[in-house]
Amino acid sequence: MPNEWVTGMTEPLLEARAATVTYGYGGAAFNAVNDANVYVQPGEAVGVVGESGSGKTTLARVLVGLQPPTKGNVLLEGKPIFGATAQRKFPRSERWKVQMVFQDPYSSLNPRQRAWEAVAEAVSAWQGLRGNQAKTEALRLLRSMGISPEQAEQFPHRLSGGQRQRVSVARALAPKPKILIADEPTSSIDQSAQAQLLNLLSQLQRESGLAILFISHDLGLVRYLTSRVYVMKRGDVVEQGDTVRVFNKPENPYTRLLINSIPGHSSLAETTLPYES
Amino acid sequence: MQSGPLSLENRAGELQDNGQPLLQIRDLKVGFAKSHGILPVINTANLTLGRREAIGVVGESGSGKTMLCRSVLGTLDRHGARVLGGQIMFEAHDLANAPESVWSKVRGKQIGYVPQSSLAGLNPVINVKTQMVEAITAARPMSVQDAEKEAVELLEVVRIPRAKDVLREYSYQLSGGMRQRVMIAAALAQKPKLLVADEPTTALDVTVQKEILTLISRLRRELGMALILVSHDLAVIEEVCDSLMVMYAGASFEAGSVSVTVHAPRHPYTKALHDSRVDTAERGKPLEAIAGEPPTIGSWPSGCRFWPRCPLGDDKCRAGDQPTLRHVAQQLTACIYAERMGDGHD
Ligand SMILES: Nc1ncnc2c1ncn2[C@@H]1O[C@H](COP(=O)(O)OP(=O)(O)OP(=O)(O)O)[C@@H](O)[C@H]1O
Ligand SMILES: Nc1ncnc2c1ncn2[C@@H]1O[C@H](COP(=O)(O)OP(=O)(O)O)[C@@H](O)[C@H]1O
Ligand code: SF4
Ligand SMILES: [Mg+2]
Ligand SMILES: [Mg+2]
Repeated sequence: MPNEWVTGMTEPLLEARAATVTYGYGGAAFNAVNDANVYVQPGEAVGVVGESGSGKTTLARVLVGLQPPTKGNVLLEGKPIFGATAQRKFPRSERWKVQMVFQDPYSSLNPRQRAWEAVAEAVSAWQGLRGNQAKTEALRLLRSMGISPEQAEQFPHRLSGGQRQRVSVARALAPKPKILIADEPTSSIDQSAQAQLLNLLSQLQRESGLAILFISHDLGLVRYLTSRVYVMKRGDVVEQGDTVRVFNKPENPYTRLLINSIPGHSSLAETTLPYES
Repeated sequence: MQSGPLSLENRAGELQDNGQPLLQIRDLKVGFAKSHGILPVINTANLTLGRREAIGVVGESGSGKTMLCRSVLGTLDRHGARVLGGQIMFEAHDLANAPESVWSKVRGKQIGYVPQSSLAGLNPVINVKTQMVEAITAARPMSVQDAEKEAVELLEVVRIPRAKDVLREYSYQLSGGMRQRVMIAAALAQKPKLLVADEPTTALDVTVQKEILTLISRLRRELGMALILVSHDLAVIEEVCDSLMVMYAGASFEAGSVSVTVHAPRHPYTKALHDSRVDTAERGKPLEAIAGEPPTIGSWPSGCRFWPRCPLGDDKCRAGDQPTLRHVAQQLTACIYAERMGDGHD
């Protein structure tokens, strides 16, 4: 399976190959990610679903180069991103291609930076623009995320959760990445702010050819946005495939549980609680 | 589970229906007392809840849902706010301006509360036992041994396995779902007639959310409790509630049965909330997101507070005050053009 692209498909943009992340030592050691083979093609929208603790964030951190896998490899456009084992660091010359938006928009934005400053900082770092030029580009990126110039003057605490998350996306777009990894980007915002963000993400993917790895515990969101999905349970990828197929004909019982848990998909009266005898 | 502290026998007589609603909030106005004057946060809210009834409250972030819960719990003053007008009729008594001596007989006893952030609700430095015993003895003095026994029973009511062991744990040692169960168990300690749950599952996984919602609906039926469930997720409210109240910028916009309110709303805001849902959206089709953001408090537009975002809004909507609730078909609605909305959109 991991090598199916070799026979005909284009080369994946980003790929985890037999990646394992082990935390803890000795008897307490466990694999937060276990032998995962996950890839994203250029321009593709791919989902990762699973419950809290299933290893989604750990997988994302590995794919974005924040930490090396204990075993296995991460390949960006076919090349290992961590270099020789001695110097396991994602080279800056490649890092711009993979950007991430984190789960919690409160902790990922500096409270003392105005929205445009947070974006301009990334613009300076990645596009080498300074002063007014950096600000102009920051405002352009923010506007593309539905943030007006007036809102761009605000500090994070004055923005709504949805606005903060859109500022985070604007900042992640500063290096003009090829792939955006979004780790539960809508879990702290309300339903209509969520709709705005999902529209913007799917527009970026369709119109700008940005590949997206969308991580969520909610298969309902993943269904809407992605065309291919991986289902994770306790570090293992237990099911993968075309999103519509996985949604309509799940093969793994755990996938079925996730689907039945989406509000409205099975009645509460028929739900049995796990600890009931 | 029919024996324990919450058995129905224990409550015989308490649940007799006298034909009155359990809770009736009428034209409630709430404001923060700031140095420069009063900052209105609710103006005006209306809600009617029968015995054993479950009502959902929806609205975008900042619409005043949590402040409404705090009004019903009598904790506004702890957050620098107070009631400026209207009534909170609970069991035929107006609690709107009741002194703390009255609230302390109601809060945690007749009305239980599961707050929005349950991580904050549980004290991290004392263990589950201390917290449960406190909740139990708050209204009914008893020996620690008896209270402990009751604590175990309560944890079993919320289906916590190994309840005796869990009593010795601290909240940081518990998973999100377990923590939420403990919060619910503590809220049930005094057999409340009403449970107020403010977004009890927002921070949880879908699988755990399903368990908590199942638990809440079952307990409600078994204990004959009424429920106020705050959520921004219409699908969640459809699963659990009988009726629904929609809030926007501090005002009640629409109320009615869940099915009619969701599927044949008489307020453009309710329809817009429904249309923006992703769970019922077609793949690949842009979602019908509501343009812009809800107004922040202190900068509500004049006229109907929704007009800057309303597809039906016109000059008449911008003039005057926020429209008050009125009956249209089976609904209570605060839209002057409610009659123009058809009989359902799907
Ligand atoms: N102490 C305060 N002073 C001034 N404004 C406040 C204060 N506390 C809350 N607010 C504001 O009051 C409004 C209503 O807050 P509330 O928490 O009731 O909203 P909510 O509907 O529960 O939103 P959410 O869905 O985000 O929980 C918000 O605009 C909030 O920013
Ligand atoms: N730095 C770390 N050290 C030890 N354990 C960790 C660390 N980060 C995550 N874990 C554990 O790894 C597992 C997977 O975590 P995570 O990738 O965050 O899952 P998810 O994002 O799916 O909720 C969990 O059991 C978590 O507690
Ligand atoms: S009163 Fe006017 S602006 Fe307000 S909801 Fe109705 S149509 Fe829209
Ligand atoms: Mg995570
Ligand atoms: Mg709230």
